[in-house]
Amino acid sequence: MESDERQVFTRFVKETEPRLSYALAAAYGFEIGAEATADALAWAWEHWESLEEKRNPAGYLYRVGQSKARRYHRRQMFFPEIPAPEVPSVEPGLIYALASLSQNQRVAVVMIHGMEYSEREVADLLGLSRWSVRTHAERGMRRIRNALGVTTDVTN
Amino acid sequence: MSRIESQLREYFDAGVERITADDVFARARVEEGGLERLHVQRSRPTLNPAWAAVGAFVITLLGLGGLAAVLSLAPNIVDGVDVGAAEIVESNGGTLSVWIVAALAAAVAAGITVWFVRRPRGGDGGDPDAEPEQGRVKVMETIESTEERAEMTEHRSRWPMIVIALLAVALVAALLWMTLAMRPNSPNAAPPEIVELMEEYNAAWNAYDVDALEALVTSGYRIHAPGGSFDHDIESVRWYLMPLLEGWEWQTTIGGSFYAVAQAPDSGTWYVSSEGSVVNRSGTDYPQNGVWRVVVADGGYLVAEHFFMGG
Repeated sequence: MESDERQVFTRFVKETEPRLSYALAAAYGFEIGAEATADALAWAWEHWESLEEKRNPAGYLYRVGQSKARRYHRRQMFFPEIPAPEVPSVEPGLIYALASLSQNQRVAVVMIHGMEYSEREVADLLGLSRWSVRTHAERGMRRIRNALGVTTDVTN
Repeated sequence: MSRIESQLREYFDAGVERITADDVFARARVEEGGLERLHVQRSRPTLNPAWAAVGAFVITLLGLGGLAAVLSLAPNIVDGVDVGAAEIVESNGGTLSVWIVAALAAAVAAGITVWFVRRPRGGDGGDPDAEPEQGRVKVMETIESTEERAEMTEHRSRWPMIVIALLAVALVAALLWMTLAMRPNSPNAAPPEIVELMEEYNAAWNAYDVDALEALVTSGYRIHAPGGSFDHDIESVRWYLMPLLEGWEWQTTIGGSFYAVAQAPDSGTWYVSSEGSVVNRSGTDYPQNGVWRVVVADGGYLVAEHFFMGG
């Protein structure tokens, strides 16, 4: 019986964890994002029965993750510059620009433009309307482009 | 995909630490086994200076307001003295403007204190590249060092300092306003000659010196109460009123800011009032709402009439 439960939870984690990890990392930085995700998933396993009954478990866990992230009492957010060999093409200016966005703008930009999640998926996660998420993403991208001095997109 | 978008993907793919269901189960086993979670809080609890400032402002305002409210509801608190707590509150700064100034001062002090306490310290011999409050962090079974992530982009909110700066400006503005409001700088402030006359007039009364008083008043001088309870000329003051008051050595008149209105331009007649008070031995502080009619006479100003309204 427990093994069935584990299988269901494992499937849930496979589906939900990427979205949760990227969103919380975008919101709070990589380190606190990872901590918050781990805490939220641990909470999910502990409260699995009640979580299963939620209409939007991913969105609920994002709220749990936000709450856990606040426990770290760190308002500053850190985005490290990944060593060059690992990610050769990331401009440092992009990281600064990303850090200057509001939390919702950052999450929307990363999730929609970076990780190619749909507006609906991001809206469910953040508990916002699709329109609101689209606005956050558009404004965030505009600010990043302005910060980088990009006037036209370059297609890979 | 645009270049920015591909960079975002690469950056987050490289930076985000992924978590599997097995990690969650392993962590649950560790916690069920009574072992302490290995990851530790990475930063000390800190208080945002803006919240400290706002909290201090609200607490001070509510504290002083609450104290004033309690005192105003209380009965007379000093036996034998006919003065109520409400009067004490009012005469000792129980006004909203004073509370606001005190609350602003408390807010600025709290905000600056918290800001100084929590600001990162640098250049004190430590690794200049090391990010403050960041060191070796234990996460689950692994120990990772964050030192390799030396160059960090720090996004520090400017709002706390903006809030503190605004509060400081508000404090200075409130102090200036109070200082200016308390000065007799209104268009109705009495001319210096009239102020000098009134101060000498009060001094003469306090000294029970009728001769000095007589030098400051016109020949038709009268002191009277509007209700007609008394009415004296200078002779009546000399033989009746002043000896009576002289027996009341415990009563004195305190001058304050004097205000004057000319009856008409160049009329030479002014009506004068003041913010002074009369204090007697029971401690009662009567507002000195007397009004004087001052006229130009003999090349200077003299008191022609004293409408006595105070205690």
